[in-house]
Amino acid sequence: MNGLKKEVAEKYQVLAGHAVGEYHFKGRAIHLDRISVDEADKLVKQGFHYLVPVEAPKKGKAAEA
Amino acid sequence: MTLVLVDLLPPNGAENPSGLATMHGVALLPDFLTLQAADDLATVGATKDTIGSISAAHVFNTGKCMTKIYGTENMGDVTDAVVGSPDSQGGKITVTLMCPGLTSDRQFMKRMLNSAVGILFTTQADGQVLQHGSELFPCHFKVSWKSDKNEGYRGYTIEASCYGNSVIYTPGLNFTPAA
Repeated sequence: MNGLKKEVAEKYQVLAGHAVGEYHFKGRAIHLDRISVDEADKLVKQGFHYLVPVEAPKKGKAAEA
Repeated sequence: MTLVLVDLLPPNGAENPSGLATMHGVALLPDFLTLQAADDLATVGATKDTIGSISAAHVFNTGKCMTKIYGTENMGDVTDAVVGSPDSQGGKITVTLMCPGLTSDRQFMKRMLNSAVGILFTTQADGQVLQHGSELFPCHFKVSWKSDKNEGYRGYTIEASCYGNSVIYTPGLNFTPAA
């Protein structure tokens, strides 16, 4: 099974305990390895659980060290 | 009791198709690592949403996920009934799905489901997913097969039943083995 597309992976990651693959949401089959960033954005706005935003790196002394 | 009744209003433009869609999911009880549950009426902090639906995704054991069940349209249904006596009522769920064909895969599934308990997820005609069964009261299955007559339906009748209440499972169906 492939991972998320590179541009999608820069913005989202798969929910912990889950993997990239096939999910059905609101009556639609979704293959996470095939979706675009736009589709990912729409899914997340609709409440899709299996994609979560990638946390931005924290800025501060710890990050600078 | 801090919960209050809510208004039940007419659809006002909200579509309300009857029946089931054609793709559903099932998983055996031991395949779940974390099986989320809806709140009970008596759960502290429960709301109408946490009682009527599950909004956190179940987590499966590594390599496990839901298995697909195709059901012919307009031939399956779900009944969420009330059983018991006044002052002591509960729920009983009955699901029927019709799956066509005769294959070794289907024969295997027939024997497996008839010898196991699990959770069944049905997709409604509007795309919502209903969960049937819980950790305390999982679904029991009766899968039978019939050749039928030449103008009939050859295939499997999958009957699932359990006590409790169906809940809306908002994450949807997960057909990807857990990593």
